[in-house]
Amino acid sequence: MDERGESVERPGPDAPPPDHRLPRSVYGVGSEPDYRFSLANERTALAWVRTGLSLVAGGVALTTLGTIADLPWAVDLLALVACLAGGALAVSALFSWRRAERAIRLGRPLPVPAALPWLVGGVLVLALVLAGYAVFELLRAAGATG
Amino acid sequence: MSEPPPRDPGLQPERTALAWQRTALSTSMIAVVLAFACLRGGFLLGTLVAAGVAVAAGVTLFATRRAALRHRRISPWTALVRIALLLGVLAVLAGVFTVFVIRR
Repeated sequence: MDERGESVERPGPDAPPPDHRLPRSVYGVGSEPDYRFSLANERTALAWVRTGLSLVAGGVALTTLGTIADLPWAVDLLALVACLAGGALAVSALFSWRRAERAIRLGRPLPVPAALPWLVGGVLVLALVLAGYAVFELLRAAGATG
Repeated sequence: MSEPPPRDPGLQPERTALAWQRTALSTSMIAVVLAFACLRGGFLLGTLVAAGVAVAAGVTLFATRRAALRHRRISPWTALVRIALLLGVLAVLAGVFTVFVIRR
């Protein structure tokens, strides 16, 4: 967010337009924020959706690879987990958008990004497992040749 | 909001529209890839569902644009729910396809 501090747009007192926006649990509370904050919140949710999308894409890629090459079953399992985690991230994006928009409208501090630790943990576990697998394969190759 | 709002020098509406395009187009692309993967794997029902998701993602993109052109105050909720549902369907379908491939 920039710090320009422009005047916040509020509906004028003479002509308040009827607000029929959904969900009412968001638009029924608080006051209308600077629209740029709402747009930033919307983009954040979309970025989360794309993160989930890339997980699904990775899962599809692994499964497609599995139809061509003969891969160990662990790869298929990894693909399954990636796909389902991607779907879960999409749902989580929806709810975190709603919580953040409510917090913005009510002037409360923003909620903690709940999916972030899970994502970081998943990537970390994946990296460690892959590194361990690589070391295992290297040691096995070294043992076979030497 | 009777008078048009001042133009945001940070181009936030444009950036948001681009974010929508990226998301919807990626969803479409991955659905197409999954459709071909299912076709190749002999999972015809999956191909149909994935193709439907691809079309629906494109429709969501244009519906969002039309709504943004018509109204000044719109909620992104409906479009967000739609794109999240599409991604959920894609995720479940990809999971089913994986299980289908494993069991074969």
